[in-house]
Amino acid sequence: MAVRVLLADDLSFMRMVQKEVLTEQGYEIVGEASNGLEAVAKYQELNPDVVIMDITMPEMNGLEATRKIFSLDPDARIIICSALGQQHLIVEAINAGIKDFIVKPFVPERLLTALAKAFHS
Amino acid sequence: MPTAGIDDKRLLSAFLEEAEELLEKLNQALLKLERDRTREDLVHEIFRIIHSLKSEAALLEFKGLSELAHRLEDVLEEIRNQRLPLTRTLMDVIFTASDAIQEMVRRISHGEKDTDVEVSSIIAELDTQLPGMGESPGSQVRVELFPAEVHFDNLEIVQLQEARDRGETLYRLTLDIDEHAAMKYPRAYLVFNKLEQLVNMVKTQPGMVEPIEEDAFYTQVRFYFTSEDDEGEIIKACDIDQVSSRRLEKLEYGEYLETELPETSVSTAEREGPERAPAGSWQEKSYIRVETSKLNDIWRSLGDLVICKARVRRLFESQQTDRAPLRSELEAVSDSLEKITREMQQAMVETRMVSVAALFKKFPRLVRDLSRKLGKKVALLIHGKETEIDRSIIEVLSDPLTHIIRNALDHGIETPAERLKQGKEEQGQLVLSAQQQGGRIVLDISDDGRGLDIEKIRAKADLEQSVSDEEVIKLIFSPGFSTKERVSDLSGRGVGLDVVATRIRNELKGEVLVTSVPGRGTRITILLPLTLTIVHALVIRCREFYFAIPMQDMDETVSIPLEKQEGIEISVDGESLPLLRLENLLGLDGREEPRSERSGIILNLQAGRCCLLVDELIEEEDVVIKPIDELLNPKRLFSGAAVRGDGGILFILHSARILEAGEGTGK
Amino acid sequence: MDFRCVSFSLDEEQFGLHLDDVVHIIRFEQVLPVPGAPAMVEGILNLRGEVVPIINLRTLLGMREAAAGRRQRVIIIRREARILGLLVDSVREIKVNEADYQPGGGRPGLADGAVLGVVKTDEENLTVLDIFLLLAERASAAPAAPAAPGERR
Repeated sequence: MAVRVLLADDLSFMRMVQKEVLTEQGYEIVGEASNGLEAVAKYQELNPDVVIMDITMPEMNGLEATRKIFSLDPDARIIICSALGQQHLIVEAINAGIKDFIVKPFVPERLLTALAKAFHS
Repeated sequence: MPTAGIDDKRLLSAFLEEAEELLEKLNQALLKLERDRTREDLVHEIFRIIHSLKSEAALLEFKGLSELAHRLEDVLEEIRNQRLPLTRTLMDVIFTASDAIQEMVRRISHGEKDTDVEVSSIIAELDTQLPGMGESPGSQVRVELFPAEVHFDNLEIVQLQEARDRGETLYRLTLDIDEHAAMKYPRAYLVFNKLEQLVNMVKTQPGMVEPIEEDAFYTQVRFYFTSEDDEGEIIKACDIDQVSSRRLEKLEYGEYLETELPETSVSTAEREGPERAPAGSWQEKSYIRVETSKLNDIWRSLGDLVICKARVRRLFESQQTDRAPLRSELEAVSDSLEKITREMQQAMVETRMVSVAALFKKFPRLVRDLSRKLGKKVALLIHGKETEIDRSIIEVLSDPLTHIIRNALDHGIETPAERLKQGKEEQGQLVLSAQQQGGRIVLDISDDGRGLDIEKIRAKADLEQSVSDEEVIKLIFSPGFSTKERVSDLSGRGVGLDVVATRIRNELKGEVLVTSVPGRGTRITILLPLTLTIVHALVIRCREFYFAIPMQDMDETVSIPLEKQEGIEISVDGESLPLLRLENLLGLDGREEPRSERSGIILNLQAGRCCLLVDELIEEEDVVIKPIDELLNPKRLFSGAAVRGDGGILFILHSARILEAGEGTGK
Repeated sequence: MDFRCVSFSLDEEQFGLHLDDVVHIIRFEQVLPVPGAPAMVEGILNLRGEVVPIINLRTLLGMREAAAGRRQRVIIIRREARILGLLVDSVREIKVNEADYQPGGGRPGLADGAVLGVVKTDEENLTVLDIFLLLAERASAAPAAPAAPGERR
């Protein structure tokens, strides 16, 4: 049974690349969101196994969306994508409970490893 | 070169002949390999060639050549074993190295030295191509970046003692973060965050909470923690991408718990040995980490202070017949001195500020353990870890906060079943937050539990309905108040909320507030003043009273032999000083047993010097000065009072007035 | 205007303090001695981090010492920055009708300013005092010395 993934990033190009990499490895992309609000809504609607969440997004940023999702589902699995220089945001996200984070520009291998490990515990 | 002679010449020419042949083959192989980097057979061949060159060069003691060949051989070995991919860059490096080898051989053939060829950058290149240590299993031992010795501060030592009493094991976990990881600190933080939920974290190197170091410092991280959990869980927590290796070791408490904590209650310090003891020799050394910017502020102020003082000196020294200009200049300088000293004091206070993270770090585990024990589901949210408070406050707050949190879990938050019945989420929330607001620190502990049972408290206290709810709630801080019939060991340990309130009010000059909504939750707020007027003082005893003398007013303490104790003057270091008796100045009765030696304190003030006789020297202490009513200070000899940890009160001597008073009475 | 008063007794005499000034009433237990303080200062108490002088009102008012074993209370009063404790016998709160209150008056041994008024009813006969004024007057009567730093007035 394929792992169901929700992609959240305001750049459609990023989502496209992630989709390609992940689908090739057998993951199923069940939904895409282009801002934090949408990410939370889609999470509730689709109930994915894991979320790949970009930190900088309009309407509601990735950190807030992360917190919101955790308050709805403490067992959610979220992996954050961030750019260099957003260290304190990442730390906050870790405090909120994310499984891992990737730094952009991301290497496919890292995304895949992070995903694989996210299902360990 | 080994022994000189014909043999050597023959060896050398043989070497050179063979070397040329090898180098020719090497070149061919490299060119072919460049075109097709998957040709393993070529890699093998090149390896053999370099190996031969190395051996022969070593034999003839051509150090430069053998060294370079050796490094190249290492790299080729890795490629050969499939541990290092042959990228184009690597190919280039190999080419460059081979070129250098050729150059070296050429020089040798011309009678020059191989070591003349500069190859340090090539060697460095080769080294970077070698895979990082620890990535491959069974590789060599990782270099330890931290000294084996670690220093635990007072709070950490208390944690260790408590953990030892609970029967937990002390561990040290060393993690290596992938050198190429883009953000090492957050990667380490991922592990740290997970671990905090599982174990009792004691110390981390480098620090995991503000202030943090530069990212590069986090290539190797050490966690010291105690746990009774199985190690499997701990190892699992470390299973994060880009953590290249981990090492979990068990440590002995005995190594770190040798030193006793300094006593906070009044204790006697026996003085033996030399007649004179310079002030400050009792102090047990303790260290704090200070942000350099804070120290810079102090240095700058100190610099200004020195200049000001110099100006004052010059003014006094200069001969001014006209008084007025002198006086106004003095006034201006005096004002400056005043302002600078105030700024310095503020800066000094700030160096004592430490983030509350040190205080909060044990709570995630505490909540997890307790909630498990009680069969409740509780999430602990912490906000404002980086808020700073005075160091001394941290130690005093530890117990009270622990007690409040235990209370919230025990009495406040309901069982999952109960919560569901009330339409709440199964998981209760406990929020612990710290922030600076106005001139105060505000600590909040709030839960979304069942709230205080106001009627029950009212009934227990036998109060009428006319007493307001707020008044009733305040009673939970009175002694003897527990609305649970059973004394649960969780909130027990002899610490009640009344002790919490007392500690916060007396020791910290703070306030505790409670608000509660039945069915919705309880919030306890602790308000603490931000700035404290702290003075480093020497505690002394005179008759049955204890006093504090600011260290800055003192030079040293001396021992006065019996025969010299009665006079009105005493000679110290060839200087004749007035000898004052504190009991006389204060008008105290009672006789002390005459002793062969009595302690005298040399006061060194602007207005003069004197020697003050006291009954006993106790210890050095940082005291918080509180103002006192004039009724308590009829002779104006006190500058305030300080409340000690055990509730006792010290009067702080106003040294200048003591000196004045002594001169007045001549005794 | 009616007002509320905390009434306390010392031997047979009754006195009153305005409720506004009263912060707290506690049982008298131990106080810490103060070196070199005037006789009326019984000692000090550590109250929520503040160092509060406890005044023996009998001494202040020139009465004899309390009989041994007599239950005593401490009334904590506060005005602006000044906080004091008064050692008295028993304490109760009463409501005073304007009609029963007569401002002014005096008491032997006390400067007039300290006595705010007298309450006279069938059951009561109490002298309403202002302790702060009383102390202030005592202080100004004595040779004044400049305030030391760290002192409150």
